Amino acid sequence: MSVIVRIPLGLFILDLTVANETLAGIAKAAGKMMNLELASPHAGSGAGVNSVDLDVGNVDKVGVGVGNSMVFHGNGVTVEFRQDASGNTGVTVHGDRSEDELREIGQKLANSIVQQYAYHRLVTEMKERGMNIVEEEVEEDGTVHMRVRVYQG
Amino acid sequence: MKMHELDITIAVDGTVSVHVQGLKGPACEQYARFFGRIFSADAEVQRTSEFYMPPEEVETGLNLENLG
Repeated sequence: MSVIVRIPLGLFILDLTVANETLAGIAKAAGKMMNLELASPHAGSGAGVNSVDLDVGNVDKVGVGVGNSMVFHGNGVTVEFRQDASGNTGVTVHGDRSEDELREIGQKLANSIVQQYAYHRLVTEMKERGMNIVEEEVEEDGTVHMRVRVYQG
Repeated sequence: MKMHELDITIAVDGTVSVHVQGLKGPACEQYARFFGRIFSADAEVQRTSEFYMPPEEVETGLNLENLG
């Protein structure tokens, strides 16, 4: 049997409400891959000729009411992940580039964050249940493969 | 002691695909719930022939029931 789960970006943003070193590490690593620096949450939404909003998917609004944001800067582009006081999540990309370019930059960063977030959540949950990762490799395109062995009885 | 394996792929867009090997019967559907719960998302299930095979007696040590 195969199981396929598509992870909504909004889930990561909601987890910002429990901001901790792990989430910051995930974001920092993802930003580095895109040559974007993780900036102070108070850095503002940034300036730019254009801005685009990304779709973050549907998530249950757990932990609502705690406004929080994560901002990346670099190469004349600012990417802001935020959750407002009502619990609504969003991602906005600003910069002096075309809207298509901004959307592509934002989507690549978002994908990278979601992939690393997925990896962290999976490994944490499986280790807690004594499931053993016996093989792990990363392909050239960044796809991660893991083989997990589970003993019963 | 019985054993089964999970082949997990995390694509560059964050999509997680899990192939359950060596676990017969509908018990493997617990993995769909497990992974869906981790990510607060609906899990899409593709059943292979193993799903329709008679389930094995499972002395739950790990326990699949602990998957939540």
